[in-house]
Amino acid sequence: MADSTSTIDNAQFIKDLRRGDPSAVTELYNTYADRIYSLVFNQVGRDHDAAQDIVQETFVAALKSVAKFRNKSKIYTWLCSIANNKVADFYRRRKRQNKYQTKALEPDQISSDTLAPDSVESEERQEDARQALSSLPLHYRQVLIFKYVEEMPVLEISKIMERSPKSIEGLLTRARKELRARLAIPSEG
Amino acid sequence: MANFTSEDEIKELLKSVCQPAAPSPEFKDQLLQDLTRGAEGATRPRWRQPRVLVPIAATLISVAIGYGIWLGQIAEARLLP
Repeated sequence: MADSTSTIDNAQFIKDLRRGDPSAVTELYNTYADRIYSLVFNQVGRDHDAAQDIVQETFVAALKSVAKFRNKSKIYTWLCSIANNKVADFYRRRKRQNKYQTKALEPDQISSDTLAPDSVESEERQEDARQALSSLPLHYRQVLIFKYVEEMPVLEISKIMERSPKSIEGLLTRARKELRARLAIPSEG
Repeated sequence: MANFTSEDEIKELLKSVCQPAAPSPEFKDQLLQDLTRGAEGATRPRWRQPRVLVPIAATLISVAIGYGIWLGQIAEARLLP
């Protein structure tokens, strides 16, 4: 996926954000809000309310901590890292409240309004895949989404998930294996 | 049905499941308003925040008034024979 950060002069932009320049805040928001929302939405099992809460927390936290941003990573990577932590916080809160399970929504609650399958077979296949993905542990789901949906390199994922690249490779292998198992597909070996 | 044994097949599968989504326009507008309103106060330098700025301004005004009074007394003392 192309990164629109290339169109933003990071150093000047971050300076403007630190000053609280409303136009910089608007630019940050307009550039990344939809992408962060989409990422979070898929991580929380396509739950709109949860995704909106987490996106709000992510941008508020980003603006509070912008002074600490050292410009060593892309702005999108930094926002993903914050969003990733907020998603984990969200599941911890839900677990504490004991109202929900750690895994994502049950399949019958999952919205399919954005999906347009070509046939019954592809719809069933997507439903199976959605169930399999939703039932994975959160860190498996996150690493798979970063790798295959966001198409991020391992190094970038390692910055977001605060693990070494080697650890991310291992996590990806285990996540793929688990996904295949839940789809009842033979493992890669 | 594909076996999803290759990277491309996994990518295709996950992309079909994790399609892009967008928040509601009302939510987006409200959050943007909140963020732009909150950003200026939150990121303002400490010395420009009212709880710091007001005591500093009050002190400077008091010093200026005091200095003015002091200068007046000196001038008055010099004018006296």
